[in-house]
Amino acid sequence: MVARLLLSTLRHVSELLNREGILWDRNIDAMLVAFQDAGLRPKRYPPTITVGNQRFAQFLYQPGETDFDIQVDFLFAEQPFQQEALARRVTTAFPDWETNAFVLACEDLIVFKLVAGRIIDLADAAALLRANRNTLDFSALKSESTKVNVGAELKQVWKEAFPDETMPGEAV
Amino acid sequence: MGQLLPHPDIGPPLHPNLTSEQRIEAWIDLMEFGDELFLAGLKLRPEAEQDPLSAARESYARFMEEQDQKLLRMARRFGEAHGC
Repeated sequence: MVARLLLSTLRHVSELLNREGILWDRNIDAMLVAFQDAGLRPKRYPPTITVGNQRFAQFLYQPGETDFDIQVDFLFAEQPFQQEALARRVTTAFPDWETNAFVLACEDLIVFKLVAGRIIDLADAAALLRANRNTLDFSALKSESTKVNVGAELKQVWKEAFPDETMPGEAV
Repeated sequence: MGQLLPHPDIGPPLHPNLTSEQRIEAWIDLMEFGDELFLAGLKLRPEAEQDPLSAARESYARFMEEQDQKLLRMARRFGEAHGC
């Protein structure tokens, strides 16, 4: 039920972003118009919220004929770490989709989870460490974590994921 | 911080050799299983007469309130990391 609606929304937004070729230096008003033309309604007016120097925008989308709003949040990549993470994005294929979707590299996704900081986000980060241990670039992970002041959280989460082991590159 | 995950020796098995598409299929399966759990849980509620879609809407709204708090926290922390 909700899973299907979430996937449908994700596909719609991915296709929108691929089609519009939306770049982060594009005029924000034009971006917001493109989102609304694609059926995304602002969650509030104005749709863009600013906290410090960080902006994000929130929309609602009703996939198909359902009377169910799915929330779509856009975090603007305006700071160096975010722009670097965007540059490192990777493509991934969804079953039955004609186009690929762009997602954060796993190292960056872990850092975003650490920044989010709720227990569920930290558990996600620990699970990502376990599931991707053999392919992670630990040097990059530690470097990016330090840039956004979540180095201590990374160490804590590593201990949760691998309580009996030292993180690669760390002194024993 | 409390225990986030079971110890690796007793946790669920991982399948490191899955392709990214297979991992996404597993994620979709998990989300659909979450729907099944939600519907099963609804039947155990005292207000079992509630329309599943309406219950899902209420549950999702609560989840999005948490999501909004998460976004605000992320924005603050990103700002702090850059001296704002």
